[in-house]
Amino acid sequence: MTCKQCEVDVHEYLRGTLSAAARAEVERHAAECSACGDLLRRCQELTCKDFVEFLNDYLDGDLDGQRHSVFDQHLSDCPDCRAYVASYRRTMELSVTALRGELAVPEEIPERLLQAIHDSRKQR
Amino acid sequence: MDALADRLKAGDAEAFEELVRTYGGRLRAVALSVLHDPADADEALQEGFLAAFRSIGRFEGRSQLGTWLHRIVLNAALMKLRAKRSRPDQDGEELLPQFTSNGVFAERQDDWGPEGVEDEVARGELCARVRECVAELPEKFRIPLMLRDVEGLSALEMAERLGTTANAAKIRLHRARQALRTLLERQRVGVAA
Ligand SMILES: [Zn+2]
Ligand SMILES: [Zn+2]
Repeated sequence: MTCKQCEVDVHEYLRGTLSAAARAEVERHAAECSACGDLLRRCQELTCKDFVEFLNDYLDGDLDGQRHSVFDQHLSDCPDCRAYVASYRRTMELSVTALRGELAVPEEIPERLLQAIHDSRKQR
Repeated sequence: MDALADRLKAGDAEAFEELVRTYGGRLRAVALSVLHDPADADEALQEGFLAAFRSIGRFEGRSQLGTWLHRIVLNAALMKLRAKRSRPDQDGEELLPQFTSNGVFAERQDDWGPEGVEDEVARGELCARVRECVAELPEKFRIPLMLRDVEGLSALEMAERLGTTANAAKIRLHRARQALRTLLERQRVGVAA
């Protein structure tokens, strides 16, 4: 097993999708290879769930320096969280664009509608 | 604060008419952009203005009067859109990401690909589909999202409006974005691949 392969498998190992043989192989490799051992340990110390829970604070720069760099490290370790962050950012942009855009349209309100709004207010 | 807002709060009847005259046209366009049906849009506009009249006392002048109204009318339109599609009111928890017991994503996360919207027509369609997804959000997510994305309120201002703490408001906004993200992905809105 190469380390590149192991990087992928560490996430599948934690997700629980690997066969027993593949799991054993990841464990064996992680015990021998310090890079992959560290990766596995880091992914258990700061999980994706933790990362996502504090993602807004991370993006807002509200985490303290040390915690921020742990989050940076997770992002470089974890393809799932990289994809998630990218899609979350796009969601933020799309939401603002879709919800804010309309105020500039100059148009007069029809007189009958104005009257209807007026009347309905008086009824209440 | 807006002089018009002060007159509204004082119950000045002419101020209400001025409000509707000043903002009615563009807000009608807002409602129409969501509902695509003039009769529905007019109803949403009417409902929105009534909601605004009822809650003018709570308008604090943190955002412009027009922006505040925009959010209220947009919400009325989104609620109408949601009602028309008669989607069951879910609690929204199922729209949040799922994790395994050891805290990894239960499903592998897909890359959404490049944004890839070139022309204005395509952008308009994309925005319409995003609004449809926002309409599907349960109220507890839709409101904080709109307070931020339409009115641009800070966490503290949102908290006051929602009657909660700044931290709770931030968490609600974050969950709202996660829920919207799930809906966009499910419906392949803004997703290239
Ligand atoms: Zn290795
Ligand atoms: Zn992760």
